[in-house]
Amino acid sequence: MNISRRVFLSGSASLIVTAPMISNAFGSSLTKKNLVVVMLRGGMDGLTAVPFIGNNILADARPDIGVEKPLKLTSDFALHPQLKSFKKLWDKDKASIFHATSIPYTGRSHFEGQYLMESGGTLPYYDKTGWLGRALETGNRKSLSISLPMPLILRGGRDLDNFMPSANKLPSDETLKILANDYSKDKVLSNVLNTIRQRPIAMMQNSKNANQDIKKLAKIAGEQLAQSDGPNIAVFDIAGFDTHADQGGNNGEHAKKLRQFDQIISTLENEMSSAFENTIIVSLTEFGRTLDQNGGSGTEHGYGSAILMAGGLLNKSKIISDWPGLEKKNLFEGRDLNSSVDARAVYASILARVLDSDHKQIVKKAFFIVADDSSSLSSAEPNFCTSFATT
Amino acid sequence: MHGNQPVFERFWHFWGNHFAIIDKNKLPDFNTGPMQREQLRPLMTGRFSDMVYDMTLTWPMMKSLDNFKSRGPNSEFNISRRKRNKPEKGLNENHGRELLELHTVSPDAEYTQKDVINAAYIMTGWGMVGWKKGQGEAKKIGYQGSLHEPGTHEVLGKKYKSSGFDKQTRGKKQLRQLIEDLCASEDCRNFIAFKLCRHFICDNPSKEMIKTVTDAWLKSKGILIDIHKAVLEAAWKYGETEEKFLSPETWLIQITRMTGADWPGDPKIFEYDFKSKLNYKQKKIKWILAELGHLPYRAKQPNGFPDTEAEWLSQEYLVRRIALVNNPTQIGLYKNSLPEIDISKKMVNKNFDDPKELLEVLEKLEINNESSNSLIATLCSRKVLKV
Repeated sequence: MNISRRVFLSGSASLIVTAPMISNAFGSSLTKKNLVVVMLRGGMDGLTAVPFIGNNILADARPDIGVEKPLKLTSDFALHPQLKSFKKLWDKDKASIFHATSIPYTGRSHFEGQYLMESGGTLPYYDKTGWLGRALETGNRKSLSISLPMPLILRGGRDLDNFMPSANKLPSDETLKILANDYSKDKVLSNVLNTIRQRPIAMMQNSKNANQDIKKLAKIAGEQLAQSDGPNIAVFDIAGFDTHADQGGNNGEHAKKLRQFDQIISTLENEMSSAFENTIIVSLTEFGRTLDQNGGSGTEHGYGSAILMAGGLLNKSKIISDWPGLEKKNLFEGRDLNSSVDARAVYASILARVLDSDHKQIVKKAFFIVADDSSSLSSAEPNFCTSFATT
Repeated sequence: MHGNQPVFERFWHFWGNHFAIIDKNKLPDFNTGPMQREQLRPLMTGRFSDMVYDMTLTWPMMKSLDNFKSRGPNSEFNISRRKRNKPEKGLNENHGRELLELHTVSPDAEYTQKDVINAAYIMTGWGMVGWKKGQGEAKKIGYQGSLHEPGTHEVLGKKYKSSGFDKQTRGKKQLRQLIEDLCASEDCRNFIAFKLCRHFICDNPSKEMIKTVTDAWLKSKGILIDIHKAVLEAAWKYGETEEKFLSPETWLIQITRMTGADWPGDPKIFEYDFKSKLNYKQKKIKWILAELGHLPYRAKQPNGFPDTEAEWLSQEYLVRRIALVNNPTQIGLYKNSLPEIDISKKMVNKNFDDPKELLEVLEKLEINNESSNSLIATLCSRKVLKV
């Protein structure tokens, strides 16, 4: 292993979301910047997506579900072969990875973990709004979630919409007005109906038979994000990473789901053309998985995972990690990849750049953390990813 | 939809979702339905702990939560493999965790990773038995002592010993004892009572509502009929002032009963054998529930479908309800039946204690020559979405 642990944090962390052509000055930007968050539910296995190849520990721990011939990124890390489009962007300095990172939740419950990865709080089922939504509560931005429900992560935001293609037709706006009248005393229902009435026609025409096809869904999202008056934020939701049995290696369940993530990236790149230059796609999961394979050629709920980022807003391909190692003594509770970077710090930093917002404000609004002035929470600070470690 | 015991059916939907089977390995196509109809329904009049025990030991549950693959690390099976230098097959924690988190005590019980592992140890040995390759019928669940992790396992402070001399049955009783203890705990009562009140009364049930149910639970020692009665009592007592946003499936059933549409038709339509493909009439209800985002048996995660307004009220969900009513033949209201305005008026008069408000809306529609909108104006009105 030839990474010096501390070099990462002092040297390179601030580079990851610096867009070369965008001014760093807060609050002033003429370019529309887009953020796409892809939620990977069930516990995405960072060690399958981005295997550590610096020694044999991982391969030995997983005789039946190892990734063969992964795409090499550095002397220590490689990429799952299904992440082909991600690799292409990596080669163009437009993809980066945070490894050994997690939200600060160690309970190993999906449902608590997913709640917290979306709410941004520390108590499961407590906060009723999401970190992304709260970050968006000011400013003139629109969000589109590619899902049937309005995901918790966006709740609390303004100008929210969610969408899945359907073949059924809505009645005329005249008819919807009758309902608007009926809903007028109910704020939530009113808001929801109001957004429906203002949906772009293009979105409604795109509606046939695309329900389960992630590429078609990404195409619709891409079209909308590319519009100058379209949404700035898109959220995707992929479930099925909870592979307790038959996880597979190069193929199989986990690989299939990683491929869907990759297809979102490639479709958005194709569809958005120049707007992709002002876009960053980022993954989010509730926890990683155990180092060892279990009784069913799967893995159990773990802790540290990886955050994958791709898009034109990146200007350098890097793996950023304070790599804890896979030796038993370095594993969390002797079984899971540890987390050495608070995932909230990564998202806060990305938010600050995409929203041109003050980093301190974002941290406070999105993650309820009030930083005192002496700490190093400013996004200009290279140490942003360690800044939560002590709180 | 047209059954003569709608209250029982609502509870059935609740428990089916409580013991949700995820959409995996064709389970919803072949196993989940029979499990809910033939195994779950008869359990609804017995004790809660019996229901948990029997549902734990169903094939869809064992399969979807992977326990059928779990082996005790020091089981006879693995010791023998170790001796023969064969790769060992280890523990699978999935089912043990969800038994605690989702089916009984919830994270409020503050169990640890160690408790989860010990619960999984207790569950080792349980899986499918006597099944041969190529055999089509549902798998039988049984206990194989050779796969069980030997020794005493402690969960939430209580020790479960391996008793008996027969190798085949040693350790078998641990699961029954564990489930009895979990179901007798205060955390379990509170969690299940909370879920019941949230489902039947409102998104944030009060302590009083929950107490009505837990009191009945304690008094009856967990008899479900008494628990269900208490839920209804609480709904009656507190429901008047509370509102509940209906889930898509409940809403669909509600509006069908309200309009009295002869749909989806005679139950005989749904009798079919495994040899023939489903026909249009059999599939239609499935398509509609899928479109509404609430196709039973197809929950993506083992916590089942959600139960609150925040989860069920979104732009896209609402679009789909409005679009469904916009095409009334979809819900069994055909052109040759009464005009929409007459159906709407009849329905409002029949179903609302205070129909005045909606009748005024309908009258206005008539005056404005917008009678064709009357079904949307009523079935998608706030009063019908939230009850």
